Amino acid sequence: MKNNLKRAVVLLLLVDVAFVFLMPVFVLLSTSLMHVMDLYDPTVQWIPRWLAWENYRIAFTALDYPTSFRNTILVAGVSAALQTVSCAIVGYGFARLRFPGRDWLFLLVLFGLIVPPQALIIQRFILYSKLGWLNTYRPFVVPAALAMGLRGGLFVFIFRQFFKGVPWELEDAGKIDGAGPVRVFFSIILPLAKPAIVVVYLFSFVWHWNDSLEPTIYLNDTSKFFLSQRLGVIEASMELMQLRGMYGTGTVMAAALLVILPLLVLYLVAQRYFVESIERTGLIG
Amino acid sequence: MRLSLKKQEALAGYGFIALWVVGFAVFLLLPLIRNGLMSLTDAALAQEGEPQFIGLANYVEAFTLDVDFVPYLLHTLRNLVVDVPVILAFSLAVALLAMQPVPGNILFRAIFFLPVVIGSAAVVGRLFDTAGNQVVLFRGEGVQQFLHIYLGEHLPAFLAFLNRSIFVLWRSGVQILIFIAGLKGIDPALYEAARVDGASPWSSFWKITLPMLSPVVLVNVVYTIIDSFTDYFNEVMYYIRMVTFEVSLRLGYPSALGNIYFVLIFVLVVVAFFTLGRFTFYRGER
Repeated sequence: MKNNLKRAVVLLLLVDVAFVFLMPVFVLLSTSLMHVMDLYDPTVQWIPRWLAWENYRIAFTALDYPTSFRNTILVAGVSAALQTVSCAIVGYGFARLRFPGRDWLFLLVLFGLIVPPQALIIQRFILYSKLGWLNTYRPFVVPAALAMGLRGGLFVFIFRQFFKGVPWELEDAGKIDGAGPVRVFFSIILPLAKPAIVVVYLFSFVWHWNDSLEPTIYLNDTSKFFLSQRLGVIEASMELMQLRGMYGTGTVMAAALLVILPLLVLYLVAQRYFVESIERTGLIG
Repeated sequence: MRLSLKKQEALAGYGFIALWVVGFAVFLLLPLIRNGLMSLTDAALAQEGEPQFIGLANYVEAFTLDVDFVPYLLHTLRNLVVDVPVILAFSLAVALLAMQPVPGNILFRAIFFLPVVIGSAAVVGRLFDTAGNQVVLFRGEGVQQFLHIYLGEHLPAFLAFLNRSIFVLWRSGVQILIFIAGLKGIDPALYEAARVDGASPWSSFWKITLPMLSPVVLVNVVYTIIDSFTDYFNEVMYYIRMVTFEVSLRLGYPSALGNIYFVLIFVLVVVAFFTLGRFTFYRGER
């Protein structure tokens, strides 16, 4: 009896918290289907009078969805893959191989995490313009391939923690069979690192997808824009389409939903990995 | 000639981290050093002639002439002092709840992680922007009128507080996950032993959960500080961005602002590390 009561209280609290987390999503969904007239009608709260699907149609065009979706998925997918591989290699070096200066260098990895991007963005802008990288995707792909990029230090840290937890015996067995560190890494260690790889790849992908700070500064050709960038300038795009007055917050919300829709689908599919893998990466302790 | 085993291993080690060494030097260290140098000059976009060395003038300007920078900085610091404990307490409480054996706790964990997935700056900006004059938690005039009876003139302040709280809670996703991972790492035998000895759940929380979780608390504190300081919506970040790319065409001055901000974060993280580090307990350490 007492146990049931406790469970009911816990469940109630969980529902409350979930409400806080889900509410903005419901707001997004409901507003995205509202016509301008519904938005200003105080008798309409949650359920639009009629479903304004044209919000989605306008948003789809204003975002230039096919092009910007392709740009985003391509660059986020490739950068995340390169970042995962490079951070795994570097993380292994820091976790398992002994070399002079290792601990100091690892402190520098952590140091890299706390430098705010704003402090670097001017210099990076100058660097990329000298290299002729502005208006290309190189500023996102190349740093990712070199274990830097968006929160690269965090991923090196995650891999290092994971590899530290792998029993030495497995490596010793490989060494006795005459495999060098590279062989050992690629044929013994990496296949074991699946949970860490999944976590890092998913995080990296999501963060690349959502990033709008650096793209806004390095890209100015609209045909190269990412989804989150297009969302930032959606009012201007709708202005260009001469839709002023016909659109409202509803269309903007529909656009926001279109931007995160692929991530939501990915999350529904990979949700199990997101939550469980991070618990198994040995991130802690 | 054959290298000793030790030297071979060191060489392989450098080989493994070589990628990062190059990336770190080119994309972080070099920009950081050049930023430091530039902050001592009057460099500007579309400048005629070479930038002149002006010493610490940019730094002096930031603290004396600039009417916006210091207030933004102080406001950010004040928010941080409030946000960090709130986020930590909230995410620990939620993690503890989500660990309870109730039906659907896996589903709840998935929901709590949602903000991390869809919490893109662009989207969240849109969402909370439209909600500026309207609370995201409830729709409609009904609830507000009802609250108005009790709160009267304090209503707008209360609603602003509510909105801000939701904004803060929305930034707890990663922390909740890290706490859950930490809680899962605690040996159940410890709780069992405490229960046999007659400890209440309350005292086992303070004497087992919290000490065992202390390394995770440290990770979360540092993560939260960095996350809120480098957040897209952070006022100082916004201000530096404005100064650089929109308001002025100066480069030296925003470099100095960026440096001041960076040093502040660095000091805070180091302080957090050392003060909390003293209360942190690591397994396998005596």
